[in-house]
Amino acid sequence: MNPRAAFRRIDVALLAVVAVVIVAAVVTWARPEERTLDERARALDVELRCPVCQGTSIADSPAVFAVQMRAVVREQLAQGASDEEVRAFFVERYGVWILLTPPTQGYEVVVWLAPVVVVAAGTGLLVRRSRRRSESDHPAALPARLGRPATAALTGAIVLALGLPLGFALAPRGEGAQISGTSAGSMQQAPSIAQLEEAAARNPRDPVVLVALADAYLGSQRTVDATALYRRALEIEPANETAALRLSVILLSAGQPSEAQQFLDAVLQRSPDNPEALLYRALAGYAVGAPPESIRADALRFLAMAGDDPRRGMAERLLDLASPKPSAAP
Amino acid sequence: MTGSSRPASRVGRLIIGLAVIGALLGVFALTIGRETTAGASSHVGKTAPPFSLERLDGGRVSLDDLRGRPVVLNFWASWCLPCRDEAAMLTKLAADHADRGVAVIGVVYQDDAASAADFMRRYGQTYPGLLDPSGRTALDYGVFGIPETYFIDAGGVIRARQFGPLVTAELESTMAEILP
Repeated sequence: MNPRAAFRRIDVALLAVVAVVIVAAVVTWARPEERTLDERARALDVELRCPVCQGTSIADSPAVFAVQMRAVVREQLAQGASDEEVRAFFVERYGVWILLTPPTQGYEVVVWLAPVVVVAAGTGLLVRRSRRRSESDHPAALPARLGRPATAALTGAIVLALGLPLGFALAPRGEGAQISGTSAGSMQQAPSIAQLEEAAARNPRDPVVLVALADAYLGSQRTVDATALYRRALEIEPANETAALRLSVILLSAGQPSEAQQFLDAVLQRSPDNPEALLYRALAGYAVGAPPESIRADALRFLAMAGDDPRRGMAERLLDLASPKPSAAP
Repeated sequence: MTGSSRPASRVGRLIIGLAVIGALLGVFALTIGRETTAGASSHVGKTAPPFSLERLDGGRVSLDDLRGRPVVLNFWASWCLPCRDEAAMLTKLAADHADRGVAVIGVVYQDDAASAADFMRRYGQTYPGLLDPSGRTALDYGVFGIPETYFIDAGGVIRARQFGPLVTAELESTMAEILP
């Protein structure tokens, strides 16, 4: 076969492949009506950002609020809303921020189009340059005229044309598949305490896990369990400030300010500018009848660093109590 | 192309290339940092989404019942540490502005009724606490995390929104936006 004709056939075959792939991708995109309600819901879950987690979709988040949002997605779809209407529902409440891939608009269009324009312009330049060069050498077949760089650029463009639509068409479905089993009727509570207890059982010496579980206990008013865990976390990692601060607050509210003071002293020894520790130590100091000047010093340092902290009032009150009467402490 | 015109056209291309890159960088700079989170302005100036929720101490409260009164709507939970300070701050606010018809309302966020009721007793929170078990009211208000507070005027329009803890020093100036 004449080499020129062979190259032409290859060109035609490549073009045919590209055309088939593009058509397949478009067809894949344009048949939402064939998907079940659950498939549509899962695809939307992947698109929506979890507002209380940031950076993850509601499909990937175990947070209770994400579960509730997934229920709303299904509720809306069941009521006959289109995918676009469901997106609009959330955008109305949270702005376009709620969409993990916001629609391109304004300046962003330029950013999205720029790579395409640059690739097209680069290919054009290469084609022109090699055509000029090869016209003098071999006024022959197209690929030969294009030269090696232009052929490489064309191959790149074809790979992009093949890869991009396929990638876009396939990606959302793959991710959505992870979260089957959640439906509008069965609202799940995030098994936070159970999950954390399981994690703590697996990692009984991980202070981060212990503190997280203790925090969860504290949130459920299980103060005794929380206290035990904060203490265990501190035994494992004496420098764990979170555990020390939480434990101090519990001890303060349980009327044990002197023990709280010990933990706070330890925290402030390591981090002399920890505002929370300063405020709580001032509070503990007041409760145990510490010298007013030490209470004042802590309260003043807290105020100097606290900015707009809502607890300023508390520090100011302590300052006030420790100021006029040197023996004011009970 | 002649040999003499080549360097000139190369310089021209370089300038065009640099201009394109400069323009793209400019666009990138303009785009970056723009609305990385839903803007604080969202909801402000709009009609407050309606709700009708059960009170922790029985009965229901709906936003329609409060029409004609300025409303301070605070989302809170017993597990939220800054909410403890806010409970006292908002209880005082409710008492200070009672004569001007201000209604301070708390909406319990991701919490159970027993813990929330215990929190109210413990921290002396006297304004109503409403239960939002489905999270739908929090969603309608676009809550990100708590504490979060909405200042609604007597006409039912949101005039201000506070993400995070309230600040005593700013509270009165914010209140001025909704007081008659």
